[in-house]
Amino acid sequence: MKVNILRKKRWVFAAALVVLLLASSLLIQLLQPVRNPPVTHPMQAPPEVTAVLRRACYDCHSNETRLNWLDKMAPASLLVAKDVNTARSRFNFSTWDTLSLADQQGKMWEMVNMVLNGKMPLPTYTALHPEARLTEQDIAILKKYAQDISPATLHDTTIIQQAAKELNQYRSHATPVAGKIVAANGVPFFADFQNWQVISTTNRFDNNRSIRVVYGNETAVKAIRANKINPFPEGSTIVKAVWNIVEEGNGDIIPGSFANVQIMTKDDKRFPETNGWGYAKFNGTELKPYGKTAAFAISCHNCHKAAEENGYVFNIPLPNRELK
Amino acid sequence: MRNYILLLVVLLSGAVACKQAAPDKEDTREMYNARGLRVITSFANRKARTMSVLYGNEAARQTALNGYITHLPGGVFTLVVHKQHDNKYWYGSYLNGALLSVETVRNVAMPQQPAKLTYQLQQGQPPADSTGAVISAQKRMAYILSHTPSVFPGSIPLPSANTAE
Repeated sequence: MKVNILRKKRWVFAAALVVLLLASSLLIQLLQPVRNPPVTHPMQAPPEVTAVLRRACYDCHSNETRLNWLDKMAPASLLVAKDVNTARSRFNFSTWDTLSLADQQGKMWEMVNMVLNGKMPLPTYTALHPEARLTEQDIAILKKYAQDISPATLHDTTIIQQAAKELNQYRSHATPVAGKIVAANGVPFFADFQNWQVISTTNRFDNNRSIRVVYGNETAVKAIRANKINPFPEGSTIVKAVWNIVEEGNGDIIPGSFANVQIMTKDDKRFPETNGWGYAKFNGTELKPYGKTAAFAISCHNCHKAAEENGYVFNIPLPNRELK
Repeated sequence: MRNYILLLVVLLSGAVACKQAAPDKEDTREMYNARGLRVITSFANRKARTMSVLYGNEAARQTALNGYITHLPGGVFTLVVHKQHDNKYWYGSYLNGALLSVETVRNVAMPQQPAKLTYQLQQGQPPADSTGAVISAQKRMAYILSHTPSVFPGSIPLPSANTAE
């Protein structure tokens, strides 16, 4: 008799549990975590550009998110909401025109590179939305647009004049740098990098038209030579000196005014949230540290993720097999 | 017997470790060793697809800073030219590729004597003009000694030992 009552109780409990689960899964469907706020400052770009962006990016990076029935079903809807919120916080095509031209240029080049590196659109998104996959032609349209909004200024007299002023100061050893200069995350500036091995030289034709010389300390150089860079060993430090460029019609690129010094130093314990790299940037001849709080390094690292395969360092010399 | 087997295992794993320690040469990466010279400036030409770094010792740096008017004795300039390469991790950026040439200009005059400049092509092919004709040493020297030094802020400690000369 007792056994029967126990069995019956178990059944009632199991049935109640099933009903509860069903009810909660139905109730959770009432939650629609993705809302579409008004489109206040939409992107103004040629129609062929916005057509590509609408197809591949707008579902997450705008206030015009279109969800299919699967995206609306919890718990998928909760995951979708997380992606959409993160995407909108990075940049939002519905408020794009509130960004400065410099920011628009920067985001556009970053976008092109995220696409080229296969990081965007998210593979999880294209798996369910194959129409969002970008073709070579789509990518060519985005590349062209990035270049069109970041034109070169040949023989830029502003940069030339500033460079002349800085050179005069440099000649008279009057570089206005005093005391210890430290970034918000504790990474200090040091001038001794000029005695280090040069790793590479680079120049950019994107939104940040510049020429650079990249140096490495012994630990970094040893790792690069042996191609043991993923990950870079602890204690590796890489320094990049950057100048704005003077571009001429004959193709010449020469350093103009000084832009900044950028440092990456590897310390897994101090910088775990950026894969062990401590970043710093010191702007202008006064070497003013960039970033008010240590959080600035997150944006540095987000960009450096494009070079994950190279231990998060963009400008290291090519392996011999790629030099041919 | 067990000890011999253990010894064999240790030796074999050592051999494997040695093999792993030497990476495939195709995978290694080269960097130009300036042997104590510091960067004076860098420049590029996107039409010629070249990227260059001009190195020098302290006498060379001072010579460049005074606009190459007075050549300090012992000045050593080295111009390293690389092929321009696309940076596969960032569209919008170029990176130096294969080494094309290394040229050195030295002021070999004794102190208090007028400058006596020598030119040496240390590596690579003699630089040529757009028609393919080899550029004379005199013209190359004039070209190498025409570049304004880049500004590096901050006080720079000199290398403890200058191994250039």
